[in-house]
Amino acid sequence: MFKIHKEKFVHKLRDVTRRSSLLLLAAAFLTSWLTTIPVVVSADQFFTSEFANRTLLLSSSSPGWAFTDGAGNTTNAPPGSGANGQKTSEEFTFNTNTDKDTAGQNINAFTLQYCTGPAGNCTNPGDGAFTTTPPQKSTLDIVLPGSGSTATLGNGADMDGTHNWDIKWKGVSQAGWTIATTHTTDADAYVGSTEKNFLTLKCLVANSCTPIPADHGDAIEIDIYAQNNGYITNPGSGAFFVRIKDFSDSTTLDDTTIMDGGVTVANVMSQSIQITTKVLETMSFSVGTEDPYAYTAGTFGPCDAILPKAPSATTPDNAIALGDPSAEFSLSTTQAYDAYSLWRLSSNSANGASVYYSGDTLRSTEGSFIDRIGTADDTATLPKKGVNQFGLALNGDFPTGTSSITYPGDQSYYDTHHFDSGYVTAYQANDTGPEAWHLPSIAPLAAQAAYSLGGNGAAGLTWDGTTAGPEFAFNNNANTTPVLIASENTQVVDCATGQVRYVADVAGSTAAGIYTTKINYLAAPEY
Amino acid sequence: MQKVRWLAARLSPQRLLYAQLAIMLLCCGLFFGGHATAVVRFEPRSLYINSSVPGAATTYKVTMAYTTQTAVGSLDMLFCMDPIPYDPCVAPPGLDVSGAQYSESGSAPDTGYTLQTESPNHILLTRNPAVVVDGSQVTYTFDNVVNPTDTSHSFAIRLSDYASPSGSANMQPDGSIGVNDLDTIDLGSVLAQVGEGIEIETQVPPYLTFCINHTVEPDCSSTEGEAYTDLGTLDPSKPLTTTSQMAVATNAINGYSVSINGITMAAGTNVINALTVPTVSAPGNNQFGINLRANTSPNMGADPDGAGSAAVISPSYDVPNEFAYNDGDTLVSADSVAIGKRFTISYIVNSSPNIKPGVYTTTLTYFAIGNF
Repeated sequence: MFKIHKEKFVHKLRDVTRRSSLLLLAAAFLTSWLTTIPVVVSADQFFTSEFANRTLLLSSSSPGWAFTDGAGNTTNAPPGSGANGQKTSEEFTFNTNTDKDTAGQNINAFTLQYCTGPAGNCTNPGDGAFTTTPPQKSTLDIVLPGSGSTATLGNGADMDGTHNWDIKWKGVSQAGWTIATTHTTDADAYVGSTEKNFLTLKCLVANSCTPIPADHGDAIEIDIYAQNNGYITNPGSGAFFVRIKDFSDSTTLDDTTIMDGGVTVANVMSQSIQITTKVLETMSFSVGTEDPYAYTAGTFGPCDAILPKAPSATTPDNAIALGDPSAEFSLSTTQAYDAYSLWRLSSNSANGASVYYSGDTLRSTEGSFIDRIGTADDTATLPKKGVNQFGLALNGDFPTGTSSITYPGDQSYYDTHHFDSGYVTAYQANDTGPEAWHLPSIAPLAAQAAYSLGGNGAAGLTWDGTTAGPEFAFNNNANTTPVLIASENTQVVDCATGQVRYVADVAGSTAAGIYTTKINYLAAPEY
Repeated sequence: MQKVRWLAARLSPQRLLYAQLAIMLLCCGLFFGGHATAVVRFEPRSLYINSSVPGAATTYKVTMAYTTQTAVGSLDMLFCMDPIPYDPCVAPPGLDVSGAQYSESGSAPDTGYTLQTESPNHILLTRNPAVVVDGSQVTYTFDNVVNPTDTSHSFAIRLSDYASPSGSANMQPDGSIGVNDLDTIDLGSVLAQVGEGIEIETQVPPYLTFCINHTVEPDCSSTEGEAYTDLGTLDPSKPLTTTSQMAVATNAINGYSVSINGITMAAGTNVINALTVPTVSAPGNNQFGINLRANTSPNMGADPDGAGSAAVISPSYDVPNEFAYNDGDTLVSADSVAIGKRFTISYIVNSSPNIKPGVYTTTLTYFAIGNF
């Protein structure tokens, strides 16, 4: 019975052992997995006097061959950014152990050596010469600006990129230190490696440098700021250790002058996490005759579409009558008449948008027509009573003003329509901040020069062709080839509103009849 | 032994441990996971349509630049209500590209396509694959594209390019492509919107300007004289003469006509014969006639004057020194819009030596009619 039990026991023990081995394997794997997380950790080396609280903060844990942003461009991956492993910043912080009073010595030099291990022979971290061609490789390299091997200290805030590097003692930048880099290894990451892995910082009397009189526990910070011409390139993969030492002498840097030492460790991930998102194309374009803000009381949207006619009106949509309202909207040889329409455009196209018009001049069913205003196409012209002419223009001043809503140039429109005061209140409540919206305006679009002078017009319209006033234009080919009337190409279009003004005059020789035309508007955003 | 059995029971079974390891490995793989691949957008890109009239056949121009410099064999254009390439495509109502005619402008190797029309809302441009130029703009033009009819919403063309001349092998029947479709090189949508234009209506009111008096201005701004003229005593040795003036203008598309109405000079049953055909003045003969020209025999009258050029004098009254009269004759007419023109009417009366005595009179009425 005992024998049986013993066999079972042995079997179970073997089983247990196997399971335990697997568990241990799992535990070991888990440990190595956890240690690949790029955290700031410290590792021990055997120094007589150790720096305390040693940390190393990298600006990027990307491998050194990675220097582009999520879109594959360098635009958003400048030196010192998280995506740029080729040009990184590093910040070392640690507390001194040796007290100047006890040792009778001040800190005159630091060395920082980058190795693949914390002790023993030093191999510079990396997996090969720099290449972005798969399989990508890089080896840690400290690049200094200028001649490349030496530089002088700059002063600046942490990691601000203003200066290439900095030493701080108890938070205060130290002046007069020099920095030099060398390739100092016992073994190389690859045959022929010359990358610099050794930093020497010295306080030289010749530079009016004051050695650091550190007490025990004083905070020291050494910063390398990445810029285009000075940076540290990460290795292509794996962990690296930085062996830090300080010395009491700037000439002799050896065990006879070493004061404290310590090692920090860092690791690079295989690749940054690329986050991409999309803002898809949008466009909203409306054409009509009435601004809803002239009628709607209460809640206003920031960019309501233009209405095709006044609310409750029985007229056809998008129809305007041009002429004397007391004479069945007929034209006269004694004065010109005008009318208005509106268009409104929003588009998130980064390269702006263009608005065109197309259509014919006023024409009767029997073939008579009213001439294009001006002596040539697209020529801003003062209208003249008694002359056969038709034209249009944007009110380039539409609208300007403050809370009093004074709109020179479009006065006739808004005077007639009694701009709703509720809209003014809503605008004033929302004219700042991220949700800000604005009064109707053609901006950011700009009217084409020949079509930009439709404002600045008085009522009566007894223009004589010489007195300054609004100017209009038209293109005789607009019916087949749309004509550009407004555009911009540098930003998204944030609810641009164009007020188009039409004018018509007739001469005694203008044949009687009903004249009509249809003007179409086209919007072409550029993404 | 009991303790051993308890220990065996408490330890995880082998299979469970392997499962745990597998999960751990999987998590490691996910943690080190890789990176999302980002399909790049065509940039810049725009759509220009030559007419925004709903339902109209017009020209579309897609202008764009390739971003990824690689071999491209096809450019896909799918017309949908929304620009999202991963959504099912709803064709814009009314749009039809099946009759599109293709042309291109730009530089090789961004050109060289031929058109395949896949459906009323789908175009595939295809060619032998060639490496495109990064950033160089090219315009693809499609004539005879029928606009959609929905004016309330913009519509999009979903652009995508592929190495294969046949487009994407992974496009779904509903027009969507997968988020990580490996066939797609670059993506991008362009938008446009059709809409009703602004209809402008006006009218030019008709007018007919007519005046007659002894003297008038060509634009009838003023007249002088009286409607009654006493020619004096008939003399067989010389004609009695007088003149009057009239001016006419109209914007009637078909012009106007002016006629004269009334009997010849008469005293009761005694009449002075009207000249039914243009005849020179012959004193000693009973004659009554008019013309609208400058005369030298007798010396009177004037040719028409004024800016108008459309009006013409009827032939019977258009000969200097010859006179005529027929009741109801048209004196002047124009067949189109005619601005102000002034006519001088010359009247002559000759009498024979044995004309019956009496007071000879006539009343002449002029009618101006606009032909609108």
